[in-house]
Amino acid sequence: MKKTEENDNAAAVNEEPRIGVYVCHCGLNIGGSVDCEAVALSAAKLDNVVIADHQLYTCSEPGQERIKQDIAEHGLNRIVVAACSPRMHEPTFRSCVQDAGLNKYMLEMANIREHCSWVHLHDKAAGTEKSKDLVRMAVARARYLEPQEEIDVPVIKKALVIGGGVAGIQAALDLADSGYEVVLVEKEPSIGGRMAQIDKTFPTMDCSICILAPKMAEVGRHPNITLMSLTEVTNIGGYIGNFSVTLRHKAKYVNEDCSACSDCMKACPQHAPNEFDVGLATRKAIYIPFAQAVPSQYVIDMDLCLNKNGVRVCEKCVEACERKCINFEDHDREETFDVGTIIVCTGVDVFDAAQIPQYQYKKAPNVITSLEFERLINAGGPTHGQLIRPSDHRIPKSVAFVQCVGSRSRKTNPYCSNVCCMNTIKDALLIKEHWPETEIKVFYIDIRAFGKGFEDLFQRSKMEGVQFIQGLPGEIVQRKNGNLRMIGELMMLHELYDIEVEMVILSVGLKPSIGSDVVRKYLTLSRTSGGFFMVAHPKLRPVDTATRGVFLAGCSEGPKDIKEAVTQASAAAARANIIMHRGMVTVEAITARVDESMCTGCGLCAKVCPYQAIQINDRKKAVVIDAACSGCGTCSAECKFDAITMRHFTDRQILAQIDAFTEFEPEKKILAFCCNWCSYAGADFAGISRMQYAPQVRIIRTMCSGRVAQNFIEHAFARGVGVVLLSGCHIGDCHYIDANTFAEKRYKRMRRLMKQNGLDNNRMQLVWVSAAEGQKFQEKINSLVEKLKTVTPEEIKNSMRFFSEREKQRKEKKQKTRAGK
Amino acid sequence: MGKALDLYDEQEFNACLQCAICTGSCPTARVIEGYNPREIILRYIMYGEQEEVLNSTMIWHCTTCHTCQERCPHSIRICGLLTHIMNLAAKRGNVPETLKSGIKLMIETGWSIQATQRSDRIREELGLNRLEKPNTDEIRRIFSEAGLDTILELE
Ligand SMILES: Cc1cc2nc3c(=O)[nH]c(=O)nc-3n(C[C@H](O)[C@H](O)[C@H](O)COP(=O)(O)OP(=O)(O)OC[C@H]3O[C@@H](n4cnc5c(N)ncnc54)[C@H](O)[C@@H]3O)c2cc1C
Ligand code: SF4
Ligand code: SF4
Ligand code: SF4
Ligand code: SF4
Repeated sequence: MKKTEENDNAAAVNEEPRIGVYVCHCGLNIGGSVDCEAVALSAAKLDNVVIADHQLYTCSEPGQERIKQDIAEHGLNRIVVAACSPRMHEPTFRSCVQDAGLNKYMLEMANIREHCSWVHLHDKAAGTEKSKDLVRMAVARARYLEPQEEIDVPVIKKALVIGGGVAGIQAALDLADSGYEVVLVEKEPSIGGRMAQIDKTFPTMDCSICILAPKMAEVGRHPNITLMSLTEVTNIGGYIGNFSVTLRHKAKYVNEDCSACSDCMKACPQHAPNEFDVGLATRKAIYIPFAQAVPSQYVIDMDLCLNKNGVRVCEKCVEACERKCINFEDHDREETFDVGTIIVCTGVDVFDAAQIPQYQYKKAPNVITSLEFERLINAGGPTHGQLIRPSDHRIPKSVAFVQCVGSRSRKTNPYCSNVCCMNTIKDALLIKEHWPETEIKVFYIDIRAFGKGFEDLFQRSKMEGVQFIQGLPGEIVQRKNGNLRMIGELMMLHELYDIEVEMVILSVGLKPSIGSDVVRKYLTLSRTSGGFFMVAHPKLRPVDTATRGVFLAGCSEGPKDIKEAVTQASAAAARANIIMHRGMVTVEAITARVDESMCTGCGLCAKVCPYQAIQINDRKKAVVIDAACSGCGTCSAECKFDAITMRHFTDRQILAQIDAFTEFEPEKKILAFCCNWCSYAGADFAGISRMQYAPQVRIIRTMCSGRVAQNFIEHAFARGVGVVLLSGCHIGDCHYIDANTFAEKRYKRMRRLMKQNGLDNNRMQLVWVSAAEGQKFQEKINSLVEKLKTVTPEEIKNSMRFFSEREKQRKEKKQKTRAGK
Repeated sequence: MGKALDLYDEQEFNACLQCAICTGSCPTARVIEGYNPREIILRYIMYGEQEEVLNSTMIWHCTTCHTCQERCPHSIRICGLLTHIMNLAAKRGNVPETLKSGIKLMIETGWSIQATQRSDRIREELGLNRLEKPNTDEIRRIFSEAGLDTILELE
């Protein structure tokens, strides 16, 4: 077996590795498209491999038992498991080897399921060859694994809940009742969210605000909850147990002594549409969004107020307020504090129906949305519960609902919004309750009444005479009298309809709230294709995010009804509770270590560290602050003197993986460096979704794309790789603030270098792939295989010569510097 | 053989929701009883009734106005599919007589609507110039390049 000289030397430093390799069939998940026995046989021939076997389910009790036995019996000191993604079962096998007395960092996994069998379902030969490569790379890395000690860091027993809808309210109350301090941040003047706006709730038909208001009030007076309304998140840093949060409290111009007597409001001369009533009513410049608002306190909308930029022309409210609460000197304030856990409950906005012009929203006054309907039918709303049509203030005798507006569409929102079918059924029943003679028609594609009690409600509405018509209208035409012609196809009867109604309610879908954008930015959360936040595992970790210590609840995760939102909120609170109750979190031993003998004190590492975790001490040596270091590896990749070692992702380990990769026919393959959080997870996602792509690619995982040093890439080219792909999170989404920008710089540098030296620089590629972009990864690999076909043997030879020469020079130079010291 | 523009992609059509917006939007469906683009997708793609569809006369009612396609929530190229189906149907001889005679007229005269003495007179009254007879050789060549002459057995 070929090995580079450098690696040979390094291996000698360690104890003799004794490696056990376990290839998992995962039933037919892997065994169906990979010859696991052949993979185990080929592994058995590798240096240092003492034992190699294949099992039906390695993660099963007998499977793990077997590993433990072998460790005892054969004195194994390193374990390689070729199975599913380490993102799935690394913790399982780590605890297995730990039970058998090994340090848990002595485990390495080869991902032959998500990255192999599931994406090459129909090519067993290629899948088997690829698995052999992946196992050989894993064994190569395993040789250089070292035991690591993890440290525990204390957790701040305080939580941040972002968003004060019903989900945020529930999460905050649960945590506060458990005894933790909670900060609940709401961007609007009051908490309550969408639930405060709706009239009744399906399937039980209870009054929404009646059941919500007591909870809102409890939040307002709970001793453990600090409620911050009209407040925005402006920065979040840190990590699990120790997040640092910065908020901006917008000026309210009314202080806490306000008793909500409304005297000021009566005096104010300025009107504007009221957001809470979706513009169906007006409010003043000094206002409270709705009667039950919490905090129960007026605020001034400075965009509307006559007093601007300190110029006072109106004193009406100030004169009216007996308690002297109004203060025009108020200004925005920033505040920074630390919390241990964060729950994101940023909720939803509704689809803008004007995007579908043939439905006449905003053009025909009697076409309204379902959210507007909620305000019209609500006794506390602008019409005191009278469903009147906007054009002539008459109660309509016939009403049509149009379903799926903006949902289930490739043009707008691709997903089903989950609540609008039931919401329409509820709305139809509400109309029937007040005005039983009203003719109601519901135009739909499918009625989705899947939850407990939903079908009953659906049947009830049919009994009450609501007509359900399959076939959405092609268009709505307004008549002179304000009535509306619904024109479409009556699918059941194979004929067209042209029906006149007096009012139309568009059942608009839900979409992620605008407020979710800023939170995503600071917490680097991934999103699914519909734009909602992605959980760590859709089945088994349904409220966790990939960022430890950050949880999701309510509609921020996907459209759902109140019951589900509340259930999730309690689940998220319980998950956060676990962390805070324990009071300590274990930090993975993957932080940077400085080798003082190599460090020249140049300070480059300190400059590039996104966390300012490196300082240069008075002896001119770099020092890493362990608690601040996140382990991205950017410093190590930038250090010109090999003075920084990334624990568990060492240069030696990665170079060994590259060497193993390049052993056979490297010119016919693609080497991909993928970051743990986005692109590796994206490739996993492609696997889970069975997105098939060409088998020529092998992935090396690093925590961050910023870890990938230029010399790794050069080494790969020196050894004859066909194409190198560098892949990470999108710019702005990096889990290590902006460490991926260094990957981009190196990529550009490599492209320039290759071009200047007459090499084909299209062999160096970069792609940003989020955890949800399996398809993007698939497409990229397939396109790279096309590129691979154009790479000539001549080109490979030239690049091998060029980069080997550079490697040699670099080594000599380093030796000289060292000798010089 | 001529090259017909082909926009057919089965996967795309399988995404059809059967929401009926297309038929509900189709101006032809309003005047031709039984004409139903949604049903053509259902039969041709989802139920695999290619034969029946290719032999039916209904398919020729589409005016390729693109209204259905413009409004389809899934951006399905309905009009593209209908063009594809009409091309295939024509190749097997399913072309309505009216269309055939229209094409023949064009090849012979260069016009799809023939100039008459009356139209000449009206033009004159309006002070418009007399229409020149178009170059039918050129038209014939274009049609033959597109394969229309063999499809329609014009020779
Ligand atoms: C028309 C309509 C009718 C419905 N009818 C029913 C029904 O009958 N029954 C039922 O069970 N469900 C119904 N639903 C669904 C129900 O409204 C949701 O399940 C529920 O509101 C979800 O609560 P939430 O807390 O997740 O989100 P939301 O209610 O949307 O609350 C999110 C809150 O977070 C705040 N926020 C957002 N971003 C930020 C930020 N960056 N910083 C601070 N605060 C932020 C928002 O201002 C808002 O207050 C209906 C929905 C609609 C649109
Ligand atoms: S819940 Fe019903 S109306 Fe809403 S998007 Fe889904 S199917 Fe359409
Ligand atoms: S650059 Fe990354 S690995 Fe290096 S010290 Fe900073 S956080 Fe740690
Ligand atoms: S409009 Fe589009 S999705 Fe709806 S039935 Fe027609 S082709 Fe299918
Ligand atoms: S393109 Fe054809 S099917 Fe579609 S709306 Fe126009 S005439 Fe109807």
